[in-house]
Amino acid sequence: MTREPTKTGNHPRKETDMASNAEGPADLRAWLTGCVAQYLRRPETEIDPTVRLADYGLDSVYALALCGDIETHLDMRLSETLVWDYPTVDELAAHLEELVAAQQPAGAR
Amino acid sequence: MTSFRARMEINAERFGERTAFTYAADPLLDGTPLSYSYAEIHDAARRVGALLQGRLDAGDRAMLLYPPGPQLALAILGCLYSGVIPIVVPMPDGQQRRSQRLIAIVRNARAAALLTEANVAGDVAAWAAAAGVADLPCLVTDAIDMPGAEQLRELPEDPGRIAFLQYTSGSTSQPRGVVVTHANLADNAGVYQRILDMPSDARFGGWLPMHHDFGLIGLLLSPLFVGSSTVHMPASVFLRHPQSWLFLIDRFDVHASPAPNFAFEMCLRRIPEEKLAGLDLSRWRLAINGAEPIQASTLTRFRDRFAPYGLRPTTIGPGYGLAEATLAVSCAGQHRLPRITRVDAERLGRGELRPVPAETDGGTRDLVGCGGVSEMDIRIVDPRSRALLPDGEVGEIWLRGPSIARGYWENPDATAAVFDAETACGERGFLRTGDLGVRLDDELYITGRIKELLIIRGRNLYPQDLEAEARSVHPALALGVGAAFSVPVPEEQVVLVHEVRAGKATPAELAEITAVVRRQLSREFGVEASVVLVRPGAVQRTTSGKIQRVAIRESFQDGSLAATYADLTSEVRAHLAGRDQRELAGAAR
Repeated sequence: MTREPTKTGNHPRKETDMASNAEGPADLRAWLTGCVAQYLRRPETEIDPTVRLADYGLDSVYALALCGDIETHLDMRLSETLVWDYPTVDELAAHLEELVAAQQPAGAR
Repeated sequence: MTSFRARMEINAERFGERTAFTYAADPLLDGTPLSYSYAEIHDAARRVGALLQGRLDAGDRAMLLYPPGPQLALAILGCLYSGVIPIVVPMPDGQQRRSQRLIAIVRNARAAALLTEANVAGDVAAWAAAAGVADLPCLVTDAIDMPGAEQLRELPEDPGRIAFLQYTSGSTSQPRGVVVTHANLADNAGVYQRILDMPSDARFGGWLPMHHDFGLIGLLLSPLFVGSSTVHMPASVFLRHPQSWLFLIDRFDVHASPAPNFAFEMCLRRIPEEKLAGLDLSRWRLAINGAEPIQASTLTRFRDRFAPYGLRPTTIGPGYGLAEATLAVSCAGQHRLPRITRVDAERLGRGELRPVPAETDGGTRDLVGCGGVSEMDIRIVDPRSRALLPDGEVGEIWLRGPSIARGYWENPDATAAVFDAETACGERGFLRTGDLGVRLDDELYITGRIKELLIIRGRNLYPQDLEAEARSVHPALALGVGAAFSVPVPEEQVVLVHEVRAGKATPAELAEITAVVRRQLSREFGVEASVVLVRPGAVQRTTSGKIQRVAIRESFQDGSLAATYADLTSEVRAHLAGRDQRELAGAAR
C-alpha cells in the first residue's frame, strides 16, 4: 500500500455525457473537446485542437479514462493506445469520424 | 518454513486442484479466462525458476518488464523460487519520464538481466537499446523449450533471503528500493489474512498492477501464500470502464478486492447507471481501501450508490499500509463497519483528536478509521522530540515487528534514518513511516504526511483543509486544484496556490477573489495567507492525481511559477525579492 498513486479529489467534477445520440462530425468534435476540457480542467475555449494532449498534462490514467468515455459514447471498441496514436483533438476527431463513417455507411443515422 | 517456494510446495500438495490464479483479460466480455491450479502454477513457476538458475545466480537482481497477464505472475514466482531478486516495473510507454525512472532503477539495483515474455520481447529489446542498457541480457520466460520443473535446484532455507525489491519511494533520479525478505513476506501474508479477517480459502481479485505493492503482495503473493485464490484483470480495462472491476467481482465470486480511494471515486463518477444492470455485489465481503488518503465521503457515497446492487455496509474496509512494512498494517475487516469519526477541525490542528456529535456542522473534519493495529508494535511519536504521545494526540506513526522491511537497497544512510529510529525513552528499531496518525479507542486514524504538514506558530495545519476551504469560497475556484504550503520568511507563513477559472477577469476582479480567500483562511484557521492564482492545469499532480505540493513550493520560491495574479504578504514579497537578489549576485560572480 504505497502512497504513490494518491489523489485528492481532482477528478472531473461533472459526469461525462454518456448518452450517445445521432450526431454529425461537428457534434462529435464538440463532445470530444468538452470531454478533454473536463479531464484537463480547462475551459473548452482554451483547448487548442492542434496541441498534444500530453503537453496539456493529460497523464496515462486519464488518457485511458478518456478512451473509455469515447468507447461508451460511440459504443465501439477502440485501441488502448488511441490517445497516444492520435495525440491531438484534431487527429482524434478525424480518426473517430472515419471510424463512425465506416461503421454506418449510407447515412444510417 | 518461511520461504515462498517451500510454502507453495505445501500448498500444491494440500490443495493441488484448487484454483490458485485466474486471469481475465476483460471481465465485461465472455471468453474463457486462463486458470492455474496450485499444482499447475507450482510446476510452471519451477520451470521459470530452473530457467533463471541456468542464466543467473541467486541474489542477482532482474527487472521484470511484462504486460499484465499470467506470464508476469509466473516470472515473479520463478524469481522467488530461484533466489533471483525480482523488481517489477511498469512497461515503458514511450514517455521520457518513465524511461528515465526505469534506467535509474536498473542502475540503482545493478540489475543483471531484464525478464520479459515472447510477445513483447522486441519492444523490450528496442527500449533497452534506446535507454543505453542493451548490455543487459534479456531473458524470455515463456519460450517453448523451457527446462523441466525437476531441474530447479532447492535453495537452503534462509528466512533472511531477499524476496524482492519494491521501488516506491525516492525521486525519479534517485529511486529507493525497499528490501523485502522471505521472512517479511511470510509474516505479512499472515498479518494481511488476519486483519482482513478472511479465511484461507477466500477468493481475492482486482486490477491493481504488479509493479505496485498493493497489487504484488495484496493481490498475488499473500493470497497464494495462505492458499487463497486470486483473479486478475488489467488496470487499463478498469481505467477505461470502471464497471469492469465490479463485474469481475460478481462473475468470479471475489470476496476481497483491494483498491486505492481514487478507484472508488471512478466508480462513482464514471459509470452510467444503465451499465450496472444485473450487477450483484452481495457476495463481496471486503473492499479494501488503502494506499492513499481515504476520504470519508467516498466511503459513504460508494456504500449508498451500490447498496441497491447488494453491497453490504461491512464490505467497506479502509486500511493502512506501506511498502516499508512489506504491505499491510491494519484494516477494518470484513465483519465490522468502517468507523468514521467527526472531529473538531481546530483541535485537530492543535494535534488533538476531539470527537464531536455527528450532527455538528462547520469547523469539523471526518476522519476514517483504518482498523486497530494489533499485529505490530506501534508508537505515536512527536516527530521533533521523539517523545511518545498518548491516545488522542496526533504524531508520527512508528512501527516495529517482523513485517518491517530490512531497509532501502544499498542506501545505509536512508535505511538508518527511516528503519532504525529510537524514541526519546530509548526504545529502538522502529520504522518511521512519515505518516501522521492518532489512535483512539483502539482505532488508527491517518491525518496526513509529515512532509506536507504546515506548522504555523506551533500549530499543525493540513494542506487539504486549507485547499478545501479555498475551493468553497468562490465559484472561480470551485473546479480548480489548489496547493497549500508554508515558506520561511523567516517565520513560516502560509502560501496557497490555486487554479482559477476567471476567463477575462480584470485585475480588480482577481484581487477581489484573493481577498475573499485571505479573509476566509484568516477566519477559519487564524492564519495570514499569501494567495497566488494560476491558470487551470498549472498545479502539478502525479499521474494518479496527487497534488505535488513540494514541487509547487519549489517553483513558487524559485520564481518559475507563472502567476495569473498574486496577493502576497509583505514578508513573503521580501522573501522572494531577497532570493532574487541572491541569485543575481550569484550570477554576477
